[in-house]
Amino acid sequence: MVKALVDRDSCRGYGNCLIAAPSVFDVDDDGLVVLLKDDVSEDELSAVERATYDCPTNSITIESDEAAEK
Amino acid sequence: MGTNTLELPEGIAGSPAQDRIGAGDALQSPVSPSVVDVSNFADPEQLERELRLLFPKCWLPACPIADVAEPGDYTVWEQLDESVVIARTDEGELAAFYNVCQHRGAKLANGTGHCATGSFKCPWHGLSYDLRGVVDHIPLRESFAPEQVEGLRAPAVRVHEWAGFVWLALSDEAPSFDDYLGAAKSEVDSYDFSRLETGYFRSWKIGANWKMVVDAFNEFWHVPFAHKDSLHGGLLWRDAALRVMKPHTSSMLPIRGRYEKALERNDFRKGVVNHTSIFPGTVYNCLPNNMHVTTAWPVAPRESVLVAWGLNLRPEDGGDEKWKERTDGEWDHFCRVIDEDVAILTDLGRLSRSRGYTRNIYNSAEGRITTFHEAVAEMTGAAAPRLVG
Repeated sequence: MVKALVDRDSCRGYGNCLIAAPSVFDVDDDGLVVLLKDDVSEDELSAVERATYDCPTNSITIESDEAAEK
Repeated sequence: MGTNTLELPEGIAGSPAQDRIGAGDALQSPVSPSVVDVSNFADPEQLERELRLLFPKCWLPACPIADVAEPGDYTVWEQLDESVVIARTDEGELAAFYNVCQHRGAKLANGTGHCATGSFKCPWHGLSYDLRGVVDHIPLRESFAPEQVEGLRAPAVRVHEWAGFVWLALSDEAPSFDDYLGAAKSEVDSYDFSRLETGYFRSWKIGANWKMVVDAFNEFWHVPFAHKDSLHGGLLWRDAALRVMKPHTSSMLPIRGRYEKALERNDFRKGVVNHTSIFPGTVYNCLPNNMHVTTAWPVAPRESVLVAWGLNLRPEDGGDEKWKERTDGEWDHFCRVIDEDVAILTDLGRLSRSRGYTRNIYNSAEGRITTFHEAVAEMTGAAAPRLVG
C-alpha cells in the first residue's frame, strides 16, 4: 500500500495538490493541506505523484509500505 | 530520423548531476542571479535603439514556408513598422523585398495568396514589380528622368528557409544565417520538418513591452503557480536543464513516462520537451509529435504582439478524425496556457511605470532571461544585467 504524507508546517496553501489529486488532498479552513484518505490506490498514484512534484513547498512525500516497515 | 546526434545538456536526468530546481540552494544554471532596471522595458528611447540597432542585425521568422510553397505564391510580413513581400519565383527560389512602391511609397501587396500574373501592380500609378521586386513596367516612363527609373527595384531583403519557416534579415549587418544560429541550430534541426505541418495560428495583442513577453516564456518555474490548473503536474519544471548558446538559449525537460523509453531507443527527442529561444523573440517549443513556434514583436514601449503557430507531425497514415480531434484539443489547451501568461503580462505592462516597480530580480532558474538581457544590452548600449551572488 502507498501512503501520502503531508507536512502542514511547511505547507503554504498553494493548493496544487488539491487540483492534481482532489480525491486525496483538500485544503481546510486554515488554508492548509489535509489528507482525505490514508491509502492511495493504484488509480490515484499518478495524480498523487503529480501533486508531490508540483507542491512548491515540497510538503508532500509518498511512502510505500516497504519503506514504512523499515 | 531518430539519430541521437544532440548532446544531452547537463542537469537532465541521465546526464551529469545537477541539483533540481527548488530542491536545494545550489545554482541550477550556468548563469548567476541578476538585476535589470525596469527602464529597459519602459523607456521609449530604449525601444528606438532596439529597432535601430538590434532587430536589423537579427534573423527574424516571417511566415511558414507552406505559405509560399509554390512558384507565384506570396505573402506579406508586417512587423517593426516594416512591410515585406516574400514570394516564390518561377525558378522555385524565395525572394523578398520591401513592400513599398519606389515612386511615392504606396503599398504594393497585401495578405497571402498566389500572384497569377507574376507581377505586383501598384494601386496608385500602376508601376509593375516582378516576383523579385524588380520594376518591369512604368506607366508614363518617358515623363521620368532616365536616372530616376534606370534599374528601379524595391530594395531586396535577405531571406532564408529553415525549420518550417521563412526567415528575413533586414540589413547586411546580420551575419549569415548559420553563423547567426550557431549551436542553437542543432537544437531544432533534428526534428522532422518534412512531416511537421503548420495547422494552427493565433496572435495576441499584449499591453506590455515585447521583452517582458520574451522573459515570460524563458523560464519554467512559474508553471506550478501561473498554470496551476492548466498544467498541473504535467510539466516537469523542476527538471529543466538550461543551456546557453548566447544570444540563444534552451531548456530541455523530460516527459514523465516517456523519457526512459526514449533513451533506450536512442532518440531522446521522443521523451523531452525541447524549448529553444532564438534571439531575439522566437521560441521553438518542440514536443515529440508537435511544436509551437512563437515570436514576440514590439509595437510600442508598452505594447507588443505575440504570434504563435502550431505544427503537428502528420502520422504515416495521413492522420484520421481522432488525430485531428487530438491536435485541435492540444492547440486549444496551448492557447489557454498562453492566455494565462497574457493575463499576467497585461498587468505587468500596466505597472511598468509604477513608482513601486524599479527593477526585476532574476534567479538562477531564470538564467535564460539574464542571457537575453545581456545580449540586448550588448547590441543597444543599454545597461547590462548586474550579476549578483
